[in-house]
Amino acid sequence: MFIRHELIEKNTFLLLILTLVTVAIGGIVEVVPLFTIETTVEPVKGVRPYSPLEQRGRDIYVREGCYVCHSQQVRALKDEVERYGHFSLAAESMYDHPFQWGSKRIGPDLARVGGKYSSDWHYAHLMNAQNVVPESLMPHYAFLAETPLVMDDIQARLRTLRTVGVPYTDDDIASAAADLRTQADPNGDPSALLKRYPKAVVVPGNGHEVTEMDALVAYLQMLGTMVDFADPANERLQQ
Amino acid sequence: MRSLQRRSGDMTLIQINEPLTRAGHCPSGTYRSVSMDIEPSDFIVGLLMLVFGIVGLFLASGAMDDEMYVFGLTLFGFATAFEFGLLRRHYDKLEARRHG
Amino acid sequence: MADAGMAISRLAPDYNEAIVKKFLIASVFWGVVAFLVGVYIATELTWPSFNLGLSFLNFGRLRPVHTSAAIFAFGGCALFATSFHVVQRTCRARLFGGEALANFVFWGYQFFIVMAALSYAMGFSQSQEYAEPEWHIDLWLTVVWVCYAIIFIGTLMKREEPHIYVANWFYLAFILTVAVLHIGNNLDIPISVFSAKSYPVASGVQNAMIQWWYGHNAVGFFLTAGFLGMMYYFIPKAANRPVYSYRLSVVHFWSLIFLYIWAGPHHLHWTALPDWTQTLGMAFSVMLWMPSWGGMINGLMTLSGAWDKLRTDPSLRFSVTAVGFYGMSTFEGPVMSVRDVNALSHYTDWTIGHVHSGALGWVAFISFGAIYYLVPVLWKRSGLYSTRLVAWHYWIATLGIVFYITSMWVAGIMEGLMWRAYDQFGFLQYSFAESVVAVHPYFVIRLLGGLLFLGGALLMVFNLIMTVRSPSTERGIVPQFAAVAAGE
Repeated sequence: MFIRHELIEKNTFLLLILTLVTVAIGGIVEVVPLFTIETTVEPVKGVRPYSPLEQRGRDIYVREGCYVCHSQQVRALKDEVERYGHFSLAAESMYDHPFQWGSKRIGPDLARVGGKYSSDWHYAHLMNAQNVVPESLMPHYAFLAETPLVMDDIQARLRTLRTVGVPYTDDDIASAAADLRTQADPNGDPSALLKRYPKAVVVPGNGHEVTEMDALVAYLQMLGTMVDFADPANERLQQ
Repeated sequence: MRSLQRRSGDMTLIQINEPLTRAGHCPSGTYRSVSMDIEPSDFIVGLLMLVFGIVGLFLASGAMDDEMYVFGLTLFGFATAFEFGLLRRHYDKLEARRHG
Repeated sequence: MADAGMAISRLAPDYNEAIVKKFLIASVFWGVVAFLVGVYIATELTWPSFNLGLSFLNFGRLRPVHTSAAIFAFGGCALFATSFHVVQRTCRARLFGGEALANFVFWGYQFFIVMAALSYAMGFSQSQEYAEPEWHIDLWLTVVWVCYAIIFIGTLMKREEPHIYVANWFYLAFILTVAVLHIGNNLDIPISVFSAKSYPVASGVQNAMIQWWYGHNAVGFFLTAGFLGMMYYFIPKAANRPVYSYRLSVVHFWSLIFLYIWAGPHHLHWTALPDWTQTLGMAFSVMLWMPSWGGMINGLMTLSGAWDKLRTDPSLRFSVTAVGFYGMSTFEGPVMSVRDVNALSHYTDWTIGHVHSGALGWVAFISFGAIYYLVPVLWKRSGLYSTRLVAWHYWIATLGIVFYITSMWVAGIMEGLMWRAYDQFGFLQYSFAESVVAVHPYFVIRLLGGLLFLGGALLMVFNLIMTVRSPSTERGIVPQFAAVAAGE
């Protein structure tokens, strides 16, 4: 056997090819079946694409690196389910480009934070976390409230998401800018918005312009709320 | 007597048209012509830099956000500086060969 | 005298040492930057007012600056420097591709580092660990990396030595695999060619698996295989002994690069990743302990017959200690990959402790050993300016590491236990906020550990600068005879 290894050591091309083949195997075995085995993503009701404001809020969550302190994945462990709610299903993050399950909790898990606190609480907490939770290590995000939300790229964002597999309809994309404004306007009529995006939460806003803070709060308020775990049809979840 | 070594990795031979004098002693008024091919490495990288410079300007011109603007301009600056560096090295080498 | 000198230079190729020097200097520079940013973010975690309310300084944006600086800037430049040095020397061939290509790889890589860090601070990140740079910066890195591969493989192909030395197998595996991983995990579609923002093609659970196939093997190939290449050259060189076992090299090389790839799922235990994938990840992670320790044994046993050198050569001490920490981390890793251990450790500071025992103990120390060896060689000095300073660096840094990892072990296990604790009524005993308060003292100790590590590195910078500035002495000529030789 070691006579043959001499052959590899004397031939750059052989060493190269054999190395590539060796390192390819594990990746193929672990990644490919996740796309082909249908039960990987459970067939569950309620999961929908993010509304434009929620998606913008998510994009802000991603760019600020919130995932370095906050996970978004309730594990199938007793104490975790008790603290945060039902363990996270693969289906619940199927439209998450990128996934934000996280790997560290310097702050609590956020997978089911939606609806647990009022929007006003979120605004106050994001502005100055220590005012609301004195022990918190979280930085202040007041600058988000002072930054108007850039809206002219929302259609490009949704179109790109559609390209990577999120089922936005043409109607969704055409109404995107209007939906953005409606979801941050408590005095507006959200019926069209809610038809496209059930359970979307309208945030208070500041009354004159949509800010990045509004988007982030809209996103946080729907986390974990899409699947109704009380519904018996959703109980039979198998992977 | 100076010996010239063929450096491994270099793809060109150095052609000297006239015998070299001792270091630092070029007779005035005499033109010493030294021709030197451009090394393939310099040429390919130089071409790449041209492309990158243009791409950088292109990206900066249509940038939708600050970061792409900074990236585009910096790429252009990088490509330009690198190009100048290539030229400088080429002529420095030429100079060194001419004056032994 | 001149003829003898000329005769010698005709035998050895004219190595491209300029590129090695450039990358060495860059590595030391970025190392200090990485440690400094690390200390700063540790301060932010200890006293959050240090976030200063500023968007570009807050922990969320600075953390990837620290991780990228440590892995890609500090570690990456050390790998470039040593791989270029080692491949030339062990192949007895000058680097393939010419000076221009080598310079492009250097400056192009520095450009990548600066743009990546700047983009995070400006608020642009893909927020996938160790793959945070956005699509256009990823594309640039791909170009630079392809050129790196061309230079390295080209040099192997023009070698004068018939056998490819073992260090080069590891460097080659590192270069090839990182290329595959980088491309595989960065399949993104930008919203416009003029925008920095992009969305990955994969989502949810598939994205998670691809990310950790990448992320674990960024550790396995960038931080392990590449640095094993370093170990396989610099330990035998400094100890003046051959590598302990050829057979072990062969066996552990192939088994390491095969097994490492499968370990990714241990980052996703108890999550929505399917059970079969988690089990595979755990099984292979545990198996991975063996080739890792094979490497450790090979490195340590190379010292047989030369252990006394540890008393006189402090830079060899760094390399050997590095291998010891490598053994420790590659035992801790498989332990943490066991699902039931992971149920406690995941999301806690134990993970941070584990990362840093590997990053500081293995990666940084083996780099310091190589840097201390290389600087006198490349700048043609008879030795370092001060070996006492190296010893001081060693002990201060080691103390720093000990503070760091022990404080994180205690904090991590405490967090894990507090999160799962029930009181006598059957309710969860602690709120999350209480666990944050409980680990504060350990964050202070961790900060101290980081400060010590930074301090040691600054000693190294001083030592190296003084070495380079000291009067030039040809290696082998004792300084007091230098004047006689110069007079000839």
